[in-house]
Amino acid sequence: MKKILGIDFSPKAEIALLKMMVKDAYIQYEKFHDDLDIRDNDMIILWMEDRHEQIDQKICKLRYACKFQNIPIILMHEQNRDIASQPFIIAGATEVLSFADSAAACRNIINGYLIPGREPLPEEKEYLDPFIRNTRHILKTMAGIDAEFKKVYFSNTIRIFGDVSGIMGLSGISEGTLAVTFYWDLAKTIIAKMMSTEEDLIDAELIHDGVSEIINMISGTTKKDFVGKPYHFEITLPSVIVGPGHQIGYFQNTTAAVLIFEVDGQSFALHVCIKPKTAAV
Amino acid sequence: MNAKSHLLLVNREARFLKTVSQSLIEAGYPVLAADSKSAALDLLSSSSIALVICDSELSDCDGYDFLAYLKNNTASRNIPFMFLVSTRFVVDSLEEEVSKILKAFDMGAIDFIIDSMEDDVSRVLIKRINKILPADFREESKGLLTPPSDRSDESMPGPAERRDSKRIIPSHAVSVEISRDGVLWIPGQITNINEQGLKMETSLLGKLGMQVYIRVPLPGARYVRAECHIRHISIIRHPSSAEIGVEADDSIEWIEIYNYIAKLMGIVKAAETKQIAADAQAPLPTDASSGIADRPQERKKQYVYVDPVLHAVHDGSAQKVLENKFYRSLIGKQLGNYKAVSFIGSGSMAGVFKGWDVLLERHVALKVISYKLSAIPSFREMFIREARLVSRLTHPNIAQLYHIDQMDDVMYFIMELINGGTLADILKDRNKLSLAKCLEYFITTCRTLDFVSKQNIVHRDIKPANIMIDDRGVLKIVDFGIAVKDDGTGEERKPDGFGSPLYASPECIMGRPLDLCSDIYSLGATFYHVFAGVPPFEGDSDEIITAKHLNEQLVPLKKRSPMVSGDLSDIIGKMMAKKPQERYQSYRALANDLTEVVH
Repeated sequence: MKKILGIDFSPKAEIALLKMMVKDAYIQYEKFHDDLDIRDNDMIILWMEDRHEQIDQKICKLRYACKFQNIPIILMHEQNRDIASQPFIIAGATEVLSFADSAAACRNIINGYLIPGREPLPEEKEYLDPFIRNTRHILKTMAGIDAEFKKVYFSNTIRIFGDVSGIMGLSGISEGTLAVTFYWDLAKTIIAKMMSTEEDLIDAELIHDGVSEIINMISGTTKKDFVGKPYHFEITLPSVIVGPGHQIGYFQNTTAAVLIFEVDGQSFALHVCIKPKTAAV
Repeated sequence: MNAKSHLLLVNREARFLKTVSQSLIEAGYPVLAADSKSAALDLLSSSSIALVICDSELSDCDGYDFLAYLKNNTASRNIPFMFLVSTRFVVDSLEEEVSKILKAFDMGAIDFIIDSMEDDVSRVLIKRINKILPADFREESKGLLTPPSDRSDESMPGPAERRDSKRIIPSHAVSVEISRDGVLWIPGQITNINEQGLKMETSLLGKLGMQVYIRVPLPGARYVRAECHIRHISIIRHPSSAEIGVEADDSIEWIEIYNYIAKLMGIVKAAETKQIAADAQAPLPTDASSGIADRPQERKKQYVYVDPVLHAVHDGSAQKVLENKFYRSLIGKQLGNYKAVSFIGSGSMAGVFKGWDVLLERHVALKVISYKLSAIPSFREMFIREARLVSRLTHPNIAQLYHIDQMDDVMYFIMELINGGTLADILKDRNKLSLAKCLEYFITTCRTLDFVSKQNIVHRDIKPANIMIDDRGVLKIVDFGIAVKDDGTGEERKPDGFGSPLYASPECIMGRPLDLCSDIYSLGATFYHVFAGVPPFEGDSDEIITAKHLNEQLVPLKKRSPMVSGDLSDIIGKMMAKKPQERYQSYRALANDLTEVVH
């Protein structure tokens, strides 16, 4: 049975949503509040009234509460006219649907998102395993931190919802993008340990240096592991960005893996999009 | 600010790096650390280095080899190089080490120190560094380490401070993009600008002195970009964005950017009036705590990319948008024994994914049928019929069908994955196509369709996008989605029209019964496009194009492409005769004529 959390639905909207529901799904309705526990849900459907105020903040908070987990957040409204979905997608929504759309279309889309994610292919494991191993090793050696790899999911875009992220372009035999993204508290903890300083003393420049160094080390070390392999790449200059809601391209014919790690109950994510140039399309 | 602003410490031992780096930082030096030559080179390429302090042995090479590399490289030749010699090395092989040290000096090293105890190394290092680097290096570098709160007044110099330039504060959001590497561009909003540089709110977090690029879209879909250096940085509206002040290098590009932005904001003209000029000279309204100029609130900072999965949004087709949302929901999922690895594209009736067969462990094409069509019984029948037709066509030049199934309401085909591109892709770069290769593809397609027609099947949508060339150069005909069995009755038709209008036969456009002559017309139109570089008939709308197929005389291929032979031009002309009975009546006859052209 799939567990769906419906948020802020009016009784009328609840009835409309039922028409779109797939079998084997159970919806629990709640009002939005800051302490919603959403971890065990397979999907969140957020109801949007005519007025959009605060909706992007709600989406942001829900996405934040997902702790990088791939929980689809569907924003539902009943407007007939087109509304620009991009701001909501950037805020963290997975899809924006309307009751004015055909119920069959919405049902199929909801059903699609409820299908379990796939496991990595053998060839994907071949290049993801070194990234996992090196990420853990680097945090251990540079900051004395034990990071546990939790799970991976796949997407056709790199969409970053952490507070601070390091992004590295990859080129050469393989090309792609690597991005590590942290929530603020964990970033400060790691960087303070890396720099042997107090968390309170971490400023913008140390954040920049620390996150740059982490993405540099992960990519640089993994690059060495790929010498002589079709995944070998050259690294460029790391960019460090702050704030959530960044989207780096859409990929056709390739995919981005999102590796989720955990450090003392706090999560961070490593996005890996790597495509050997010689690989088949 | 010193242009060379970091010490680069290279040592294979992490503990050494940590301890010595810490000592140097505490002494006021900005330090970058690397454990290998490759890591050091990465840092050299990304940062300004004032001095390299290197171990004699690194994790991936000899420290002396690294020295030789740096001194032979124009960009790094002038960076001073100091090396560390381990006590152990000295004791074990004194003579050999002395020889290496002398050689290192010959190569351009300026100093060395003996690495005995780490504390001593740090102390000795600091002494030596003070002698090597200019006296003001540390003072200038100290600014790097000062927390932003301590330099709240360090924002862009005001008009009074620098060349009397006027600082302009936009009254509305002005977008600009910033990049560290010229590849990844992060959007930003200008908070103020003067002739020397600008201050912007962005998500990119840099550091003082770092070189960055900014770019601005100018009219005519043209970007102009300029090199700058970061002069101010702070995190604002924690933790969602940063404020960066950049000073632009003197360049024509920067002048162009400045003039454009100033003009955009209507400032140039307004500044001519005394009142505005006076306003521009007035002190900036600032946030007392941060010293940051007030800025318009609620600016959108995120960069929006066009999602190809949702590209149909721009075509105005609501149905297509929903279809594509449906396909997007399946990316990264598993249907039965098949994983949807990545999205390849969608057509009018299906979305195609690169898939993986978990049982047979091979790549496949996963073709997911439109939810709308698969819910309609007659279409469902049609897709099953397509599956039956294609499964009958075992031919090396036809993409094979492996399996058909459904999960919940999702109906899908599993097909042979063609690794390569379509003829339509190849046509975009016609330099890759020789005449001989085109003829080879033409004859192969012709023979394959001969095989198809012998099964009494009409493809009905022959076009460049449905002819693929795999990465071994093998041609494959794909997408029998609207194929029909030609049983002579002419009753079996696809309910919603025809394939691409650019290649559709007149009888197909008119909705008449189709036979192989229709495919021959489409094949002729397809290769007309291949040889001429343009489709036989073009127009702004489907209606115009189809009207031309019905009524307009074909411009002979020879006239469009003088390098093709008259015989080939005549063959295509005959294939594209308006009346089916005036075309070739069999592929065999067509193939024979084409073979004669080749010889």
